[in-house]
Amino acid sequence: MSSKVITVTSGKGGVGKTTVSANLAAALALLDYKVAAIDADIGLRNLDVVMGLENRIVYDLVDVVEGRCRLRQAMIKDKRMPNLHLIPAAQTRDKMAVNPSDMIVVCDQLREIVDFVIVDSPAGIERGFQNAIAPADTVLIVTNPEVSAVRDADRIIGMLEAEEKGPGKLVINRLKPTMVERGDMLSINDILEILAIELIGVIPEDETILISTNRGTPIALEDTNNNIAGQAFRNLALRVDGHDIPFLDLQTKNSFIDRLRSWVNGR
Amino acid sequence: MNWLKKLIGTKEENKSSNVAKARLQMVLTHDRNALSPGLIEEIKNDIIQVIAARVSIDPENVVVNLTQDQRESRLVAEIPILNGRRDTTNS
Amino acid sequence: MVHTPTNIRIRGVRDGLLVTLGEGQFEHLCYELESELQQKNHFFRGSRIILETGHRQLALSKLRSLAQLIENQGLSLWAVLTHDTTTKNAARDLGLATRLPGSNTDLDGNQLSPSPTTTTASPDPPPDTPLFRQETLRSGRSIYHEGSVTIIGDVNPGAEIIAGGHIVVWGRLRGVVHAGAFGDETAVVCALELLPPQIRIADQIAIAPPPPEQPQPEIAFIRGNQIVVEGWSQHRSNRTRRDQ
Repeated sequence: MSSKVITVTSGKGGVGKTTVSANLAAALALLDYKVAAIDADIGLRNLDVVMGLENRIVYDLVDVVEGRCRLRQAMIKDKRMPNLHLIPAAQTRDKMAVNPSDMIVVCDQLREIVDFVIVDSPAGIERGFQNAIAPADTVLIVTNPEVSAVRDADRIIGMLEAEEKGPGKLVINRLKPTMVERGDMLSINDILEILAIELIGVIPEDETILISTNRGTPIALEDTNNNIAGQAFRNLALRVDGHDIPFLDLQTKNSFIDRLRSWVNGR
Repeated sequence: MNWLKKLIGTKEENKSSNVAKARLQMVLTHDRNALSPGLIEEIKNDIIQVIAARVSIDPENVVVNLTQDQRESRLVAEIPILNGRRDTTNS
Repeated sequence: MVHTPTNIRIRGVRDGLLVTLGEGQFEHLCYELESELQQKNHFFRGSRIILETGHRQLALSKLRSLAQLIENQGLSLWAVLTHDTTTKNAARDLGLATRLPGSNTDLDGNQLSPSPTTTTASPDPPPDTPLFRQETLRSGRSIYHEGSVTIIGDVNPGAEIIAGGHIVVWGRLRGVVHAGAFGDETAVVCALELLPPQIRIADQIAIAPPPPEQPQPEIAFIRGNQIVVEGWSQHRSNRTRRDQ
């Protein structure tokens, strides 16, 4: 199987790109693939701390691009999962330190040694975003069921199409099924109707995600029974790998009030 | 059944998620095409002028809409034509 | 009067000053490099140096002495481009870059075949021909050229142009410029909007005068031992009067 480069982007910041990148990378590593995650932000570091690898950074992406070290020297190996690696972002203020062509060169070399490269894109549409999508075979767009996130996702889809990297596949993060049922939150179908691209992942809002970030352990790695979020990430990884996995039923149990409401509203 | 409706909550159309959806559809149709509602009004007037020069129409009921089908946008104009009568004053 | 070195070639590139070491004994090269940098010190002020050493093997001690030599001239060694493994390792030990971002090479420095997705910057012309660029120079960009420089685009604050000849900016000039850098007092600086914090021509320096009320193209030149700035229409009529 030839290696794939997957870029995770969103447009709007704070929708959970980095969490999705970290957990997708971890879940693919769980499937025994060799995975390299790249933090493509320039100036701010995120992916390292979410993956719990912040203490192991010696070299970063700019060091690789400028040839200050060999590629492998910058690849931090995760101690829990030896087939999972991270190339951290540089904390430089020089936004021009990395070009889209550099990202292609780095990812071409990574393709020789890993099965999947996950590129965590920064928010926005400037150089960091351009860098992140340049090497991509597939782009995942992360959004929240919320008006400004969906609007920005739409803009990103348009830009991807203009760069011939489109249309991308959608990951809806932070879904709250009870709010959807009450009509207080956009539903999956609402969002799909508006954005009209293929859905590849749905991650419910879950407190345990923050707790796992606190610990620096991607939740996809935790194999407990009630871990719906973890299961959702693992399903995302399977779909990225080409398997056709049905989406989890996130509906809450039917309460008396819910049934009454359905009857009254004539559904 | 009003007491029951009060118990259950707001009507379908007023649910905030539906409002959000409608607003998004509106704003995205314009984002995607960089067409402001003002510009569409001007296009409508241009269309009325062009068509009215050739055939009798009912300008009051001309409707021009920007619609969305998947990711394709369409500018759709509905122009009622007055039955059979040609405007003889201009010929 | 421009001194042309035989075994060292220095030219301005996007990321700094490219110093190419040619043939010859290491000591002779050091001597030439030192005198070249010293002679053109005001021209190169504060730049970062990229050393291009080809297949020459330079161990850590030699590279270190080159870095020291450069530093003594008030410049800094930033990168070493080499085809030799020993030299590359020595450069990395010194914390230097060995590749230019955006260059058409892989991570080992091998030239890539041109592909539509990689950016190919046009090579710099030889020093005596005019340099022409159609782009906006952003903060941090420097252009050093021994001939004249023409830019179609803006020159933003924080960018700088140092030229032996004229400087023409078809756009808004807000960076620092030095025309006639080798002493040519007939050199001029023109821009559609001349707004640099400082203009230098040959050995004269001037703080920019206040901008005109209506933006108009202006030209800066030396008249009677100082730099003057004239609006283009005024300059044209002055010139035709003088030419008659």
